Amino acid sequence: MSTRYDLVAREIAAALNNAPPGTFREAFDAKARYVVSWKLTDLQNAVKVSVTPRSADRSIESRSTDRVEMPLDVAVQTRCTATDTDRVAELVELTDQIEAYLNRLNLEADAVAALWKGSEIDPLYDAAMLHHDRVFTSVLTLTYAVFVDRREPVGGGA
Amino acid sequence: MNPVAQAIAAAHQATHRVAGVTVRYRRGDVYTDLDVAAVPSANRFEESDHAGLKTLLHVRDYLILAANVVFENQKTEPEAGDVIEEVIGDQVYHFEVMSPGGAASAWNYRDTARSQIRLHTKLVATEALP
Repeated sequence: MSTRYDLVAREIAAALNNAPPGTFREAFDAKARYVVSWKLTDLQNAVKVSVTPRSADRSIESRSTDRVEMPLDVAVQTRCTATDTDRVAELVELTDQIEAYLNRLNLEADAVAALWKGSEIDPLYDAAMLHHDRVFTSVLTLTYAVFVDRREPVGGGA
Repeated sequence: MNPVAQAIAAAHQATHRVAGVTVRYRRGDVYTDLDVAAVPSANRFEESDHAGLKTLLHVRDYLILAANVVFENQKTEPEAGDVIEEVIGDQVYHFEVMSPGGAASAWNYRDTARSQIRLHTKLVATEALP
């Protein structure tokens, strides 16, 4: 059974993978993942984009319905050296393009509907990972809102 | 070089003769003039975790003689980003020189005479032997 967390993450990954050609400066395969764990060899010649549910914040929407704000992280990762500033700039631009593409993109799949609420890129890139592991990492946090019955678990029943 | 330094250098050379494996050492696409005898030392697996994003690291240290880092007849020092290519079985393992983490440098001299170098590396690629 898929949870609502899975479904939202998968819909975001699908939206990225199905973007029109030329939307992003380079190709990548986005995937929903609960755990992001790579070997350096996995990142050598590929940009990995991982969509990970982070948390859920539930509040009253109406008498019978609750609103759940659900931040998800979109991590952009690949091998890169700290001294290759041109490449770092390219990858920051890629994250920017992903953010712009997902801006105000509501999810309207049969399995799950979610409203885009906002986004934040933090860090723009992780300096520690760049220096120590020579891995470029940028994290785009998207916040989506879903609406659930007041007795329904946030993640389940989708 | 004083007698003590000479003795240490001789000991390092003996270590490389006995325990060294032949590796290729490159900087970008340029290889050292000669293949290098390197002594693999620490070999371990680590996991770095930055805000929940995990990276699994195959960390390997090599000891090499400083005199062997020679590109186009120019003796030089290692740099972060240099790559050791070691053949193990039917695979070529590419270990990149980089800091092991924290404030540690990617490489350091092991003796005051600067005859031997410890390289800290991490596995970044593997390929089948041609």
